[in-house]
Order: sequence, then structure tokens, then C-alpha cells
Amino acid sequence: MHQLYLIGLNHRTADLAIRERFALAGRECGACSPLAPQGAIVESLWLSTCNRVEVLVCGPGEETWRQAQEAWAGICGAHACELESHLYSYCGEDAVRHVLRVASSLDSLVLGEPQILGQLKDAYRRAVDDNTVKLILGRLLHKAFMTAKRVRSETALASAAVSISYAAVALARRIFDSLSGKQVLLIGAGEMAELAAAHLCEGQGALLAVTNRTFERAFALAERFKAKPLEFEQLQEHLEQADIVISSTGAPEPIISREMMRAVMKKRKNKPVFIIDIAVPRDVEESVGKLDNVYLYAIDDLSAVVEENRAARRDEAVKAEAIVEEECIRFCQWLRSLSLQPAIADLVCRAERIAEEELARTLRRIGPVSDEMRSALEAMLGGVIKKLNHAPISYLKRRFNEGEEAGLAAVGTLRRVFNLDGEELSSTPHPGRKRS
Amino acid sequence: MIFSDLMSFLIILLYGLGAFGSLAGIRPGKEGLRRLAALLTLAGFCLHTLLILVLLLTQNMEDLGRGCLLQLMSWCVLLVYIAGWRFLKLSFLAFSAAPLALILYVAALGAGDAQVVLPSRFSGLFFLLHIGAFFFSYAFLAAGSGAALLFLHMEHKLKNRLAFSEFDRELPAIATFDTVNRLAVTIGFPLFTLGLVSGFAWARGVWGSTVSFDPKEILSFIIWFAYAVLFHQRLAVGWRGRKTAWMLLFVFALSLASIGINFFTDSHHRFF
Repeated sequence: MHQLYLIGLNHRTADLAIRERFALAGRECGACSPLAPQGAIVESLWLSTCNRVEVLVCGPGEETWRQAQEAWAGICGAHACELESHLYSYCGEDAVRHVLRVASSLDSLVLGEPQILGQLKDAYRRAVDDNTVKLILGRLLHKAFMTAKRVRSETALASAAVSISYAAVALARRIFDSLSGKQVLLIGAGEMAELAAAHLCEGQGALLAVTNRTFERAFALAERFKAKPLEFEQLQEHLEQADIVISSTGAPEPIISREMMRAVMKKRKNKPVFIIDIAVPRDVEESVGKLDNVYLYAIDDLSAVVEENRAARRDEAVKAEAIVEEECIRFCQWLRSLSLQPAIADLVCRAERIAEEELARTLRRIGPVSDEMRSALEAMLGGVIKKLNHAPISYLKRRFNEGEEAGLAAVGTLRRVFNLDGEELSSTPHPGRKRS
Repeated sequence: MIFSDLMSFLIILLYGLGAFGSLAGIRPGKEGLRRLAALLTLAGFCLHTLLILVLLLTQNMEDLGRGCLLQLMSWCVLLVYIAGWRFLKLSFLAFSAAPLALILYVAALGAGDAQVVLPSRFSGLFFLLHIGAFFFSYAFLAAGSGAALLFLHMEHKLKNRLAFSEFDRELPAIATFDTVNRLAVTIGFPLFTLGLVSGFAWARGVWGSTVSFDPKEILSFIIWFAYAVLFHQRLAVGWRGRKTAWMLLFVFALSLASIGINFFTDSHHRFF
């Protein structure tokens, strides 16, 4: 029976330089996969992202993963022992659990991040194209995708934003029906503010306008974001048009006062406005947040939201782990049941062979029969075979679900009882035993 | 009688299962349960519609008791909820529709025991216009008030930067609640006005006096005035959000009081 092995390194076991050195992405040699099945490797799949490089192989024994490790190191121009100190390895059920956890983003640097599932799907697609996955890895990967889907729909693991810029987008979605057509005003510049503005406009249909004390800077920023540059002197007029304001200037005093915002809200006919103040010191007076229909979030508020969301994700991870465990048990049951297949196939073949022989003998005895009669006899024999085989096959499956050892013992008993190995049988059942 | 009893049993069963399913389905990842609950509620509503049609077609207007009228009102409320949920995609109305339907239907059955016969002079299409306009305006007020409560809840969380619960995450943006509030005001107020005017015009025709100053009429004047202020401030001045939410809740509370007052005072509105 083939066993699953997983070897890999990630952000916890190897630093960036090591991860870069042993990355497999971009090392494909033409149509050939870097870890194509050969020797002890029957099936293989590799995943290479910025945070992890993992090789999943299926083969008959321990030499499988040793061969995979040597092949991996060889591709990267290194020796296997250089790789070994950074590696973690899993076998059998542990390997299955690890793959399911990775797909569900429980092993990621940012718990619940969605990219890993896409990367795993890409890895699977590539392996299918290279014809390196077959029955076991194919089924495992489908199980991993299904588990990730369950985790996503049955837990809130990925529902809360865990970065400042995504937290801003998530909050905007709590305020507005849709971000499409909403006017985003970016005041000043700064990496975080620009990132938040980019996330708000990216694929959401929001329109961006940029203003800065120096118009040239506003113009340059606007060009970069394909936005509209605005004069800083007419800030109040621009605020009247803006639904979302991201402020990040280096001004020592607030540039948006309560009075200014009150006048703006009157002009806006109280249309809601979401203000994200990323500047330190603050660009917007704190009391602005007390005005009706104004939702003001400062950098600390967003950080607190992110921290709460991280804690919420950790709580949800417990539920997700339970789902992973459930699916892992199911997959391992299926995997174990694979070793039943030869015994079941032999049992069915034996029964069919006997049925065919008996049918031929009967037909010889009763003479020619019509095609309908022959079909009816064949159907009857098929039914008898199925019903007779049902009990031993169910027994085998039950014993396998109890444990591998019990399952293998049951297979041995079955093979002996039905003489599936075609041994010569003596006329006496126990030749060595004395008759009383 | 056996038919209506059997129908009532089925309606309560469907609304009950729908209410249980929709409340249990608030948790994330329970879309299937929510869909099933929605289907059960819709099935209950179809039976409810059938029962009302049978009652209206088989009974005289004079014989319609308070329970039947309350049942008609609960049907109007549900119709508005289901229309908002299906056509405006206001999915948050879905989980409140079934529990509300169950409460109103059971209340209607309870009130049905206290049968108060409708005076014969109240029958006729014009009366249906008076009652129908009021019932639908109450329905819009009920939907708007539900949205107002959720708006205030979410606004409080956003303003005070509080963490969102699993329930909160399933809710739509607060702008959606404000949209429901706007609809409740812009459609509900004209309907309320129509109900009031049609009642006065008809009273003048039947009794010769427009206003009899019974407690319900006085309360209706107050409601109309508060509703008119809200309508004006919302449309002309541009009020939105918290103020309109509180004001709508106030108007709805007055409307509930105007329904409740019938049970305690003796007037020509005592039938309902």
C-alpha cells in the first residue's frame, strides 16, 4: 500500500534567504516537472509560495521522501543535508492533516488569509498538467479544497480584515451599500493612506481624488492612481463631494474642524461620510466623530479593529481545526480502504468465475435456450453474487474502520476462507491433528 | 370551521418552523437553513393569503371580527416584508419576517375569540380603502422600525468602534437600513394620510360629521402630525440616519398605542 509523505519549509522553520534558495517556483525545466514521479515516487505535487515550499509525494516506503528530498535539493543546486535542518516532515495521517490545514489557511502567517487556497489550486492544476498526480493525491487535494470551503462557510475565520487597509475597506462596506461610484478623497500622502485608497478603489468602482498642500505632489499622486488632482485651498468644497476621506498630512494642527465638518454635512444634506485619519498628530478634530452621519476612525481605532479581528480569527481557528480533523479522519478511512481493493476484487472475480462455470455446465445439460432465458439466468446469477459478497465486503470495511491492524487481519481471514490465493488444499482440513 | 382551523394550524406550523429556521440560520455558513426557512415562511404566507381570500369571499363584511382584521393587518405587514426582501434584496428582512408573522398570527387568533361584530354601516369598498391604507402604512412603519432599531444598533457600534458580533457581520450596511427608513416614510406617510382622509370623508357621508374626537381619532391626528414632520424633514431638509430612526420609532410606538387603545375605550373604532 502506498503511503503519503510531506516535506517542507515555511516562515517558521526557515528565514527568507533559505526560502528563496530552496524555492521551486520558476525552476520548471521545459515540460518536465521538477519532481516528476520516478523510482519510489509514484505521485508528486509541489507548492512554492513566498512563505512556504512543500513537496507532497506518494510512494511505497520511506525511500519515497528521501528520494523527494534529494531531488528537491538537487534542483536547487544543494545537498540534501543542507536542506534537512530546515525541513519539517509528515507521514500518513499527519501529512493529510497538514495539507488540509494549509488549504484552510490554519498554517498561514496571517490566519485565514485567502491567497494560499488559490496557490494550492494552481499547484494542483500544474501537477495535473504534468500528470504527476493520480488517485491518492488527486483525491487528497479535492478533499483539501472541500475542507477549505467548509471552513470558509461554517466559521468566521476569514471574515474579518486583519490589515489596516483592508479594515478600512471592511468598515466602508459596513457604512455604504456599495462602494461603486463613491468619491474617495485622499488628503496628503503616506504609504498606509495610499494603500487604503488603492484598496478602496481597486475593483470597487470608487472614484479617487487627491489633494495636497503642494499641488505638484497632488498631481504626481493623481497620475499614479489615475485620480483627479484638487487644490488644497478648496478643501471644504472637496469635502462636500467626498463620501470617504483618507487624511494623512504632516500638519501640526487639525485641518478638519468640527465647525467645518458641520457646514460640510449641511451642504451634503447629511449624506454619510467615512473619515479615516491616519495622520499623527491627528488631521481631524476628535469631536468631528460626534456629528451625525460622520464616522471617524483614527489610526489607533483601525489598529484596535485589526487586533480584535485577529483575536476573533484565533477563536474561529478552534472551530476550523475541528472541521479539519473530521475531514482528515474521513480521508484516512478512504485511504485505508484502498488496501481492501485487491481482496474485494479477488473475491468478486472468484464468484464471477464460479458463476460462469456453473452457468456453462447448466446450459450444456439443458440444451439450447433463447437469448431472453440466457439473459435472465445471467441476471439472476449476478444478483446472487452481489448478495453473497455483500456480507464479507461489509465485514471487511467495518474491521478497517476499527483500525488498520484489525482490517489487515480480516483480509487475511477472508483470503484463507475463500482461498483467494489459490492454494492447494489437502483433503483433510487439519492434516496434523489426530482423529479421536 | 374545520377548514379554517386546519389552515390556521398549518400556517402556525409553517411560520413556527420558518421562525425557528431563520433565527437558527443567523449564524454564518447556514445559508441552506436560511433558504429552507424562507421557503417555509413563503409557504405559510401563501396559505395565509388563501385563508384571507376564503374569509373575505365567504363571510359578510359585518361579520368580520377583530381577530380577522388583525389577521388582515398581519398579512399586510408580511406582504411588505416579503416584497422588501424579494424585490429590494433586503435580505435582513427575511430573518425577521417569520418570527413577526408568527407573533401577529397567534395574536390575531387570540383576539379572534373576543369577537366584536363590525357595524353594518362599516361595510363596503370605501371602508376597505380606509382600513387597507392604514394597515399598509402600519406595515411600512413596522418594517421601517425594524430597520431603525438595527440602524441604531450598528451606528452605536460604528461610532464607538465596538467589535462586530457574528450577528452583526450578517447584517447589511447601515445605508441599507436608512433606505428602508426612507421608503417607510415616503410610502407610509401618503398611505396614512389616505387612510385618515378617506375615514373623515366617509364619516361625513354616514354620520354627517367629519370628526367625532374619539381617542383613536385624536391619537391619529398626533401620529399624522409627527409623521408629517418626519416626512418634511426627511425630504425637504435632508434628515438622515439617527434622527430619522428615532423619529420613526416614535411614530411606530404611537401607532401601536392607537391600535391598543381600541381594546380599552368605547368608541365607534371599538371593532378594531
